[in-house]
Amino acid sequence: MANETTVPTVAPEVFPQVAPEKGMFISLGPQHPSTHGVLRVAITTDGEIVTSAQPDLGYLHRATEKLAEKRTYPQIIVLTDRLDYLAAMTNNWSFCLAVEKMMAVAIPERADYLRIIVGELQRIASHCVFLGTYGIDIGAFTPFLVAFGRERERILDLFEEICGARLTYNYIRIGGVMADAPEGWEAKVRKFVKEMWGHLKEYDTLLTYNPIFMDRTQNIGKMSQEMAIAWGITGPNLRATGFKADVRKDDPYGLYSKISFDIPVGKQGDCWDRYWVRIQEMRESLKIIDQALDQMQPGDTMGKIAKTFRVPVGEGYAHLEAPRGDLGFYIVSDGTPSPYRMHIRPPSFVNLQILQVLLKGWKVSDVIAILGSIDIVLGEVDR
Amino acid sequence: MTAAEILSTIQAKYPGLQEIPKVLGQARGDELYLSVSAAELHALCQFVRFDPGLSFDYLSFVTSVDWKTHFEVVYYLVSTLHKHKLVLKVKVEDRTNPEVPTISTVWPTADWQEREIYDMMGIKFKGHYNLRRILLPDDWEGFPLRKDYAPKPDRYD
Repeated sequence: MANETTVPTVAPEVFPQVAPEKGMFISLGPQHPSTHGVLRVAITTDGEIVTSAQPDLGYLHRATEKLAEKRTYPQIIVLTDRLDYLAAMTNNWSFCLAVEKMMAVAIPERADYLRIIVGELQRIASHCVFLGTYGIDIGAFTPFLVAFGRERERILDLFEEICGARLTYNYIRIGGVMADAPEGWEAKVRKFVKEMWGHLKEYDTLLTYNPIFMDRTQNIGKMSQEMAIAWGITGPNLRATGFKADVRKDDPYGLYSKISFDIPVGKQGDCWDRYWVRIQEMRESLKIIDQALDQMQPGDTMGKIAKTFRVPVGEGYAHLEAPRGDLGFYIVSDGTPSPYRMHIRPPSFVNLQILQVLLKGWKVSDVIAILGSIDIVLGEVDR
Repeated sequence: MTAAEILSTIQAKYPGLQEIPKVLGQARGDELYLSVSAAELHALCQFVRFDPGLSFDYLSFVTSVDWKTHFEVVYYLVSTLHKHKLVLKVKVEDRTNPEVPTISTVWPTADWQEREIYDMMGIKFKGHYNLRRILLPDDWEGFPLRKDYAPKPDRYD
């Protein structure tokens, strides 16, 4: 080994510090409405300035990884629905990708396009929840009624029509999708996409360029690019720092290589940039859905796969771009009907860690603005 | 870089490191898999993180597998610059007191992921600044993801 001192290291300020003994202690949560679930953050302050923050989690822990060891592969898809419950479609998809990679099965083209359409609709629905709840966090209630109560409901209606469920879908299956789209569904999606362009303009006037909202979020909670990568941040939070990274482009899965779209990036990685990137992503998703609908041809929606199957011995990892970032499944198989070990790489859990260093130095009133802008789902943090 | 080029770059510095070969008929990705000893892990991580040709700046995930006779800690590394990948595996033979050096000083993102492994499988990470349970309550007995874990019957059993 060469001289240790010549090896560069990560800048020391990126490391968190355990809570100092001095200062006022504030326990935020676990039942605080702005923590979006049950998360507790133990905050120490000096006057109005946060000096340390330690998230305390596990309130929603359901031992998904342990449960998976006792279930067959198709049964696990149901468990993945319950991770990030605002984006169950992409959870299903990520797990199926990992199993399909290990089994090396081919997916019919129509099923792949249907996956892209529901996956992107899910991204819009998930970002609508973010937009609504983030508005409430900052003090604007109307966007919630518009984005959450109107547009997301329409997407859930479309999902209900294609798979019968509104929240936990179990739609994407190993080898394809559960069922083909019903008669007239594609036309309804097209109608929704057309109208959504107008709604996005409405969001810009309601919230994006609202001076009060901008004052509360611009230049707040800045994250540098170097810091974001070191902490493993993915998804819109990483792109807000100006870093172009998207699993759909970097490590394409499904048929994303056949579709053209941009990766919106922010400038300085503050709360407003993180918000703005999500709004732009909705626009890109609409473009993707349009192209997928154009390219989709009639055909099979399920590959040739036996009713009971075994996954070959070995291991596999597949990941995709979920609404909150890089969601992956690492599966170790011993040839039996259930996995020997399944590990979930959850974007929310990894993104949340940075709170320990990100909150430091900001005012107590900014804590909610920063926490909300990271957009976590506790079902996935605790699993 | 291709897997062979990554391997030769690393082996130029660490001649003893061996690739884990792919077994015919077994499922595995096309990433490069390396077997590392716990003693060498930290220095190797420093090297692959800061070497300009390799530049594995992004640690995707850390996890562990209980193989009944031993534990295995798996590190999945990605370079955001070169878009190549590397999987490191550390074998931990000692089941009563399993210990691996922490790499949270190289990639801070390992902070909570190592805490989760400690919480679920009881592998200690030497040098971790805050190694305590993260998802389970502090007074929980045993490590649930171990294969020999016997759950304590509660009022629902």
